[in-house]
Amino acid sequence: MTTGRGIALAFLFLVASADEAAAHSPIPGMQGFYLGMLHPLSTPPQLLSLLAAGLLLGLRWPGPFRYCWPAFAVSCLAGIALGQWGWLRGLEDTALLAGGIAAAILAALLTPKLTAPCVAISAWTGLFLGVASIPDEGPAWPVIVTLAGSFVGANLALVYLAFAVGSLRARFTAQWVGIGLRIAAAWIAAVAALMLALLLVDPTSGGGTGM
Amino acid sequence: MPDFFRVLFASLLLAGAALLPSLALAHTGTSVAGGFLSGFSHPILGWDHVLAMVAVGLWGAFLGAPAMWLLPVVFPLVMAFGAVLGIVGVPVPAVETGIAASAIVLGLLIAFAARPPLWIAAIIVGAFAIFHGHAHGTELPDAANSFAYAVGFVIATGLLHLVGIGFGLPVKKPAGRIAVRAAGGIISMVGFGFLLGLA
Repeated sequence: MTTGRGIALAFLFLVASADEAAAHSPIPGMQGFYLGMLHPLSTPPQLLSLLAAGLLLGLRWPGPFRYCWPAFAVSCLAGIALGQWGWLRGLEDTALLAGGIAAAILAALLTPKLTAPCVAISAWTGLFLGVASIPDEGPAWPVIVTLAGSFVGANLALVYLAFAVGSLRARFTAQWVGIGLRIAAAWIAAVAALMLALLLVDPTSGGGTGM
Repeated sequence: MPDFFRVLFASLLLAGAALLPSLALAHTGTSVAGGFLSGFSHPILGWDHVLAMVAVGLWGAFLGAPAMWLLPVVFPLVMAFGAVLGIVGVPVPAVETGIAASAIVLGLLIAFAARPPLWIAAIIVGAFAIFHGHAHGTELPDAANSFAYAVGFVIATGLLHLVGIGFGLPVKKPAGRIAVRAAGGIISMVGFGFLLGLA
């Protein structure tokens, strides 16, 4: 048997057996961590703001990222703490969409020398992603595990997005790649503006997603 | 295959693919897919929208870089502003007339090979984008899944720009230039048809 066939068979076996393995969380309580990790991608305001911030930082990679990520991470922790105390709750969707619009417009226009606005937008996004991550009331430990997952998930999403966009631009130097990313940013700004308008017209709509 | 035919083939393929979602119109229900298809099909099934979107791409290609790429960045941003006006209920006068006028004006600009400064081109396109956005925005709150609807109609609008850019790329060749200007004339005439209620 060749090495390639062996790898293919091993991969098939893994795929076939994954269902059984997934039925059991490897560490007790870790399911909450996984759910928390996915939470920043679970609602349109969070997703749009992360996409916009990722594009903004990726289009200027590595430049302001060294300041923006720490600002994002610290603000995310602050947002979690403030949200746990009940502060800023209820504002997160509006704030995330507004921040997403600002980030996406800055990304689409690709204006130079914008370290301070990039840091401010990253901090804003992190803060309200932290507030949005607060789970329902429950025992302390599961809440902490879920919040830890949300914190890790939000940071990973931002880092991966920014890195992916930055790598894409570095790998493909053709002009249209950068322009395509800016067009994507314009589309994200457009969708976020629509969601924000819907949210302001009908706060119970959750941005028109029935949340 | 020469670049011209490759671009033309890709544009036709994209245009054909963009028309396909009309087959799924029966499903405008509560699902994400239903909302997306509803939003995606809204600009594509309205021929006045199609003409204007394609004309934006066509004019951008005619003007060349950076207008070719700047106009598709400007249009969705301003269109979203128009849609926000529609959602919050701010009236914009003569929306349908504005949409028809966008096809007429953009078509004439292409037909007469107008080359204004980039910022004037952006203002012209942006002004018309408000009418298109308002028309989409007034229908958005009725959509079951507005997020999917918004994503669908923004992507469809962008793809229509790309179709226009694809058709406009042969403008560098003498025959292509004539074809693009003729297309502008046709767009303008059809726009008149919309304005007069003939189309």
